[in-house]
Amino acid sequence: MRPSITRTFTTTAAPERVHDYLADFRNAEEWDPGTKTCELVQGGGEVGSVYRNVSSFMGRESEIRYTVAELERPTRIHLVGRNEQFEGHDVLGVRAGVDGGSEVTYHAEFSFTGAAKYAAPLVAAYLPALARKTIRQMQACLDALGDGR
Amino acid sequence: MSAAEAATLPVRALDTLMDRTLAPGYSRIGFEVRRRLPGWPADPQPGALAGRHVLVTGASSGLGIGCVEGLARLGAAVHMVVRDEVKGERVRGQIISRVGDADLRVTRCDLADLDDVRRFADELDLTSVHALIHNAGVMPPERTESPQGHELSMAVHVLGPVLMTELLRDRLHSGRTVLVSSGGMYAQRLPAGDPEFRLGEYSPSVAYARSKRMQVEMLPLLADRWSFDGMVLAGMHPGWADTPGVRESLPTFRRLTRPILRDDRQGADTSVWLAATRPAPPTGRFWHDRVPRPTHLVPATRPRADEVARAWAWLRSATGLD
Repeated sequence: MRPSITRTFTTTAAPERVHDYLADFRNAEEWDPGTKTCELVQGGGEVGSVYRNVSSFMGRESEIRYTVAELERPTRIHLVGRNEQFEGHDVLGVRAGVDGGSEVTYHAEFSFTGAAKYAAPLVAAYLPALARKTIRQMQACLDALGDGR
Repeated sequence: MSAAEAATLPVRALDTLMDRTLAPGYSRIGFEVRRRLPGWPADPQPGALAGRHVLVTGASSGLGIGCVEGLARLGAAVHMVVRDEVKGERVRGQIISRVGDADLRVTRCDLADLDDVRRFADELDLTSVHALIHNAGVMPPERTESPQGHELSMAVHVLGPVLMTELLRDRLHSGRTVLVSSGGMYAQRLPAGDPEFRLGEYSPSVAYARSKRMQVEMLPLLADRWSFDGMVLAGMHPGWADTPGVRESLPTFRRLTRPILRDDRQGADTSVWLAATRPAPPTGRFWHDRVPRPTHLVPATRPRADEVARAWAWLRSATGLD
């Protein structure tokens, strides 16, 4: 089982600003309700760079190392997160929206190995609520960028 | 939910039920039922495409003919992009005999050959293209390679169309591009690890459906890319139509389903509608019978994020997208 979710929303921020903000994964501290800290530990943000993300997920704190897999300005961002029992993909698609704004598609996908496999159905059940919360926060952060243009 | 919305529920439910059960929806029955249901998206206005240039690939057979004819009836100057100009001229004459004032021009390009696509884009003497309909299709009986060494169905259905659109993107500004896909893609996963069909035993219908799945999975990424040109990119599937491809490659299917297969006009209806309807439809969607449809009917065909990334990298590399 590989729980995943895809959501699309619009923001007033321009595509390049959206891209630059989300491509710097340290900003997950702002836009991701689950992230407590996120630091760049290897590289300068380009493909292959590594972030150390500490998040709390369903009451448990965990550390996940995220590697930048794809980066195409301004349309595409893809990070792969891994630890011993988890692999997750965060993929963001950015397209030109109306009046200089953007349409953003957020795709999150999770897979688990070992004992964590039993968590997959629970995660799948929890995912829509989590995505709703994440999207709301991400959209607010991006709109704030848009207001400042 | 408003009362008006509630009133349309049974209609939407019928439409959706036909879509998910395939045979009723994809056949001519589906088309004929849907276009009589309330809520059927309105036909484009007469003359909606007057003064506009539209390119149709694979224009001299099957759905291509239905598409050219439908666009011509709306007043478009239609450029029939064909491999065989003699056949193209013959079909042009036949269409003009039915649509007297049709403005049709025959032009040659082999979508399988990326060099010929580049030549075509260089030589195309138009400053503005309103719509580009990627209708050309093949179903090679044996595994065949294009001049650049790509598996032929992937070359004709994916690489050629993507390169042509990319090269014309300035001229397609605020225009529309339609990828004619196939309902057959619903049965296939994205062949991310083997897009060129080098592994396993080649099957014409599987190769065909995989290339159509590739179109559909790349659709949102390409729509993002070309959104910066104000371009609407749409995928669509025509349903089950009585095309030369079906006649040659799927004779048994055709024998069994012949009475309910769609004709060229019915199969091309959504392509013509996408090119002409106003306001412009949203980009990046997959359509059938004028309505956006899901791209998966079962979870098993959903690609993983790493597979999408791999296929995208292959597509970019094969077409030279920067």
